[in-house]
Amino acid sequence: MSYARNYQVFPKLSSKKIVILSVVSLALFILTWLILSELKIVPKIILPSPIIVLNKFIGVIKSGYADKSLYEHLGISLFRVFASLFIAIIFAIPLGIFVAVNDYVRGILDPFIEFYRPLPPLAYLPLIIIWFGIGEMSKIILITLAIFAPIFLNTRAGVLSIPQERIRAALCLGASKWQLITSVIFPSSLYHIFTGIRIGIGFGWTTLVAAEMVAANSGLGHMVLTASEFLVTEVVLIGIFIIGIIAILTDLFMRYLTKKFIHWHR
Amino acid sequence: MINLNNVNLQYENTATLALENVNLKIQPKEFVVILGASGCGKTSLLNLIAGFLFTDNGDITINDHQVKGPGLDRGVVFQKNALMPWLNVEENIGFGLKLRGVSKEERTKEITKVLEWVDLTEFRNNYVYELSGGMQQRVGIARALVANPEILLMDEPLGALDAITRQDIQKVVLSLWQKTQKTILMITHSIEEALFMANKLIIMTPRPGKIHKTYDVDFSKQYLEGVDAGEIKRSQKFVNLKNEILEIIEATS
Repeated sequence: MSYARNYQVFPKLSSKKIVILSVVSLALFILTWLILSELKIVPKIILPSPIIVLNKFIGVIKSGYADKSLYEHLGISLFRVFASLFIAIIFAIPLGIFVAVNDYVRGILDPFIEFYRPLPPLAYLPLIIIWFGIGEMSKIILITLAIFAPIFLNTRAGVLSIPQERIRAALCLGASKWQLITSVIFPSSLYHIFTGIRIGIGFGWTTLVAAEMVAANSGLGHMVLTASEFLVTEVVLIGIFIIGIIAILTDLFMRYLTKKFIHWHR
Repeated sequence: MINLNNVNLQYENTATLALENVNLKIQPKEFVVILGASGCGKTSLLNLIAGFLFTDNGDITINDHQVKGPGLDRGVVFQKNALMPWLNVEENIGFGLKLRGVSKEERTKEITKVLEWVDLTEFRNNYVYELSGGMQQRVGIARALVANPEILLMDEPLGALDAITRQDIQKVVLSLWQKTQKTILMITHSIEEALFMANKLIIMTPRPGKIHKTYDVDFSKQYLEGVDAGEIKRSQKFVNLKNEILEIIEATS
């Protein structure tokens, strides 16, 4: 017996079929790439063949690139992003909560946050370099600022979306102002906070690579930029691939954490 | 005793009074139900008593003390959204006790007692999103009762439930009223529910919101004395009264 089916206007596939389709699509892409490069339809400098890229990848893993091992590049990039993420979380969550619950705090902070928030981080990178030099400090400050905004804004949105009844119920049950924040407002906002962190990691990663291209002598962004200056296109491709894979993995991890810790959100 | 004396309430940017000259006395152990169409001010009235809302025009006292905000003497049951979704049933019910530093043993004892009252003992470890709407409301009622408040304020507690669940919970609330001897103030827009549950039924009318008429009814008493709920609701007296109130509401809204 066949199963019930919904009336559909747009094409729908089973999730298994979607995966098969994706695999086929990816295989066709690599095949096209292989043909274009191996038959020299596109010059090697523009598009090296996947085989060359793979060999170079093994070479970079073994002996590094641009004076540093791949792990050093990777490690310093990860350190910059996650140290910044940590600092941003420490500031953004409490500030997001206080701006949402206290109109004094809101009135005082609003003009600054509203101005800086839509600024592209690279627009104030020169200023940060003037103030803090080109060391680790300035990169961490830049990335922290990039990550802060989405976490802060999502925390605030989370607090503002708490149903009034929930707050009132807690007050009737004897919650103090501080208990209200820790026992109702913070847990109620967790889903939004996690979303903010997810977006923040994305922003941070973007900003990191850009910052490493402007002012750094290590990191994945620096590696890619150096390779492009010497037209080593295969290393550029490798760098982009690694950056992409890490972004996907961290996002999957965040989604896993969200599902695990915010089980009630559906 | 809850006492409202010449209470007027005006919201900003509205033309008519939300409440006009409301006088109301609620004696201990009464089950007062406020019935009215939307916009009649019934929720505003409950919020004033709960301490969520203030007016400078008129006096609201509980046992001769001015209402200055929410307090443990008044438990509130909301229509929806008031439970903590990250806590299970037991933790939700014990939420207030925990905030106030009641010991774990004492909490468990109290929670076990009210869980039995609302017949949720076997669901104590479930999360609230795993429960049906009616069960969630019973958790809300249990949470309000566990603090042993003198007064229970219920803001359309059954408004979001289907008709059959609603009737079940009406009976649960009535038996809890009998068991705990609380003063209850409940709001509803269902005439049948109001008639069945109240011992004092207040009809409010909108624009401006005011008390139109008060009835003393005894259907809940009959039910608690063992008369079948369906029989009560089908009785001539019940039906006549229901029609009379319907006419009032239709004529004034």
